[in-house]
Amino acid sequence: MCGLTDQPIAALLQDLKSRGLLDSTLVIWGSEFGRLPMSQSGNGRDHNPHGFTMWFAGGGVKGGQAIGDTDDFGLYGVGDRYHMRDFHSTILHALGLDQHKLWYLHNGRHEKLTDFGGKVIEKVFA
Amino acid sequence: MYPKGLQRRNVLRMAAQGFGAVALESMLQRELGAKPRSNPLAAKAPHFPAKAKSVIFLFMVGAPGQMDTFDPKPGLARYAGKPLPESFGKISSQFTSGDTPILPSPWEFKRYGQSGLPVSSLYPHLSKCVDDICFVRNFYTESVVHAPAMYQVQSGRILMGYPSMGSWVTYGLGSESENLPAYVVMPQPEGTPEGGTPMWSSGFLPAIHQGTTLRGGPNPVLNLKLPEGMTPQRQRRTLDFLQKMNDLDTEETDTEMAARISSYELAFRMQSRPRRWISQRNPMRRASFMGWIKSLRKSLERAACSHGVWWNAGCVSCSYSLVEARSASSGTLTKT
Repeated sequence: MCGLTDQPIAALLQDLKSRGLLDSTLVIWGSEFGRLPMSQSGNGRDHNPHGFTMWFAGGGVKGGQAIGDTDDFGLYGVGDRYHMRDFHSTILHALGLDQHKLWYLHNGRHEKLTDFGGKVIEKVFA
Repeated sequence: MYPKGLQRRNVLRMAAQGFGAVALESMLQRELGAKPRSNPLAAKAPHFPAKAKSVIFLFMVGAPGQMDTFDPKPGLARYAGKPLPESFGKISSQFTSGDTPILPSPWEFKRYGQSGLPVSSLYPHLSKCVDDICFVRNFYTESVVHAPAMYQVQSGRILMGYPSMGSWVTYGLGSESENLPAYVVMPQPEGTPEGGTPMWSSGFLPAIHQGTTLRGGPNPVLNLKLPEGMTPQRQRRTLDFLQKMNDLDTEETDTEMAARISSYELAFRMQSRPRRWISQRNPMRRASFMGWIKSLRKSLERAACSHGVWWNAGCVSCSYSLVEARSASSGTLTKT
């Protein structure tokens, strides 16, 4: 299935770019977790939430770079690991929204997407 | 016994009509005093200048392996068939407990573009775009199970019931487009992801902020086409009448009702200008992923003027499929 998504996603990026829309459109690629370096049932891989890749393109993004790393086996994220709170605060930041100002009063609590806050991954942006 | 003109029958009639009159007066007052509904999706200014106006989230349901796509790990080949070094400790996931051997990636990595970033042979086309892409290689979530992890990516919590990112964004920014849904969800051609509708739920935010699902085929939005014999003018009159009745009997705090009314109105505008959001001659071609992406791009182009439009595109791309692709030569299929 990865193969099936290859040409369409590349075409999407190129089309957006040729129409001048990529500059104002944030394209995000990612999943709910990654996969383990060990095998499962021979040639599969079990779920790995400890360190995995997502990518950004377009709206304000500095392309042609890789931020962060996983260990030699791709099992754990190393250095500054990024939680989903960081993912969300980065996206809100791209859209001009302050994660701490975007709240909704629910059951007496100021609910926010990033709960107690994430760190914006500044390096993503140009 | 009764004075003239105040017969028992007349008293009853007048009293009954009187109650009617009281009710009528009350209803008229409410109608006269009814405030025009404000647009809950009116565009709002961001907190600071935005870098992006729209978001397309290509959500790769099922989780492709990082070491098979964009994060090469040559160490895996050196340890092929051996156990993970003990220094890593005990690794438990949903189906395995860390005692299976290391599996090297079957895909070859090469460096591409001016940046020289590595991409696996799974992506011969996407590899040409690396100079536009910023990879972040060390994200982590907290669940080894698909659906809860999906909820965490989409809404920040592993439990369902919290507002999704797209809902928060339309709540924060509204939409400049009145004729298109601000938050669109296009499930993969094969069906909805495992996490289901809670992935694009508005949670406790007003219901207007939930994602609008666009399905494949000639009817991307169910029941949007006018039934035979129904003219747009008649539809408008019906909606106006419905609106009046709703205004008489709707609490302002009833966000479910507000969302429903807003949906009717948006549907009417989409019926009136179908070409504005999707070409009639080119219905959602979703039999293939390429058709699906074309529809996505076309719709986005039509919405290019919009602010805060969120497209959540779920598609299958997982290790299960990776194994499936590989199994053509090895003969086994592992479903995870």
